[in-house]
Amino acid sequence: MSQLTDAQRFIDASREVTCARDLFNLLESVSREMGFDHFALIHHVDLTPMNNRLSHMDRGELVALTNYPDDWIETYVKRDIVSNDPVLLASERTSAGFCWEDTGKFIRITSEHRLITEDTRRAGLVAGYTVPANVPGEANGSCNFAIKLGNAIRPTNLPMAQVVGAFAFQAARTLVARATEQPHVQDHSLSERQLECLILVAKGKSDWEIAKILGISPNTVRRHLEGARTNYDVVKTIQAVMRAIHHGRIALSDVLH
Amino acid sequence: MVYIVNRFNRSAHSALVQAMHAERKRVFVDMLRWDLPHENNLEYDQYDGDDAQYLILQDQENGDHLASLRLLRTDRPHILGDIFPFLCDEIVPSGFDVREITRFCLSSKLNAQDRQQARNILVRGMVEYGLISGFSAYTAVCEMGFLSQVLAVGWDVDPLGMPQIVNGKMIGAFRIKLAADTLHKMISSWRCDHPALRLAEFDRPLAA
Repeated sequence: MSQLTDAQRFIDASREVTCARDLFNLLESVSREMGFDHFALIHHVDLTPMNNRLSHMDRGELVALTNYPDDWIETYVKRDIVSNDPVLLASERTSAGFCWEDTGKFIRITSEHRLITEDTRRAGLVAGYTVPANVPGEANGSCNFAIKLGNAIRPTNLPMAQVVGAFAFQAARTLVARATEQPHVQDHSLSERQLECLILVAKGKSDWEIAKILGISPNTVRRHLEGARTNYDVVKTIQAVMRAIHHGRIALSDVLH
Repeated sequence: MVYIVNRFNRSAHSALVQAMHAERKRVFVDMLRWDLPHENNLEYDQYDGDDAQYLILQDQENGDHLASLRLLRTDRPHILGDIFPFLCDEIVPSGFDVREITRFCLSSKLNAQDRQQARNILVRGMVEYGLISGFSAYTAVCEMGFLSQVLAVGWDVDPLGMPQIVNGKMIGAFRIKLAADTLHKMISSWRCDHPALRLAEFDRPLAA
């Protein structure tokens, strides 16, 4: 059977699913076919609504579907690893699938990231392949495939994992969107003022200059920028600028003129 | 309004077509760094011949090019068939009712909001054109990052083969099926509520 036939079979079946459990089962079997032991299909947002009954998906709150080991999921949610998981951060900076060992090509690995990677391995997920599923104007997402100790990633299966990951995420988005009627609300919503300030920062303006341009005080500018950083959960304003560009809130043409 | 430009009415839209080639140079060569032939700041290739059709969104106020795409007949030389046939695991889809979308281009001077609006009008024009022409599908070669966006639109998309890394980018070939409900299936952020095509352009000029 060719990979295309297998992928197409998954895609056709994924279009027919009516509940999160069906999609879970499909993903579990296609992951195994591709030689992976685990999968995690998630929006990169606060995962606390997640539960084993998958009601968070059937209620349309967020995409979070995984067969990672239970205690790792618990730790992952409790420690809010989702906001600083190096694999997920890397997936927001590239468009094609990548192996976890290549994460350092996309982001600067911090000591905190190294600890998270170490804990991930200890939890039994020794290596993996992540397919980014970022749609501008929505929360970022990804489809992650992982293997346990003793298994090895089969490079010939990665193109299929890329296709399956992209379509799987779309199937999950569709389930969630259908449940709420409205498409998923974006989680990193910037206020108009925060956005204006970020655009001016991207144009190289100082806090003082931005204050003059917008007719507000420098302190207010700093408050807006802090709000933007908090929204994206980043430390530096430049990171917030990059996120806003990535999310399609700022076009490069906004800042080049 | 989206204009349908083909070999029959090209001369009537020469300024707009010229602006499209200039924008394609800015977007694909200067910004995206694609390795494409260009001359005098215009990007065009061997597929910009008589068989090419263009859908071009023009600013009604100042005549500027806002967005455009090129449709190629798949029963004639086209990009998937000539350059990327290895992206198809089976035979390359071809036929009079299958067109290839190429050079999808949004003006680099638009801000994020206007880009989205221009994109939606052009895409609506593309679907309308496909439906009234009786096309069964569009094919396209695209980067994997763009695939997530295209899937999110809500269309019936199928892969034609497994993606591959070409010049450092992972790309794949896809087919978008066209059907009566294709416009309906689109998510709100991609939707344009008004018909986009301008068909009056098919009128022949009166003989002098």
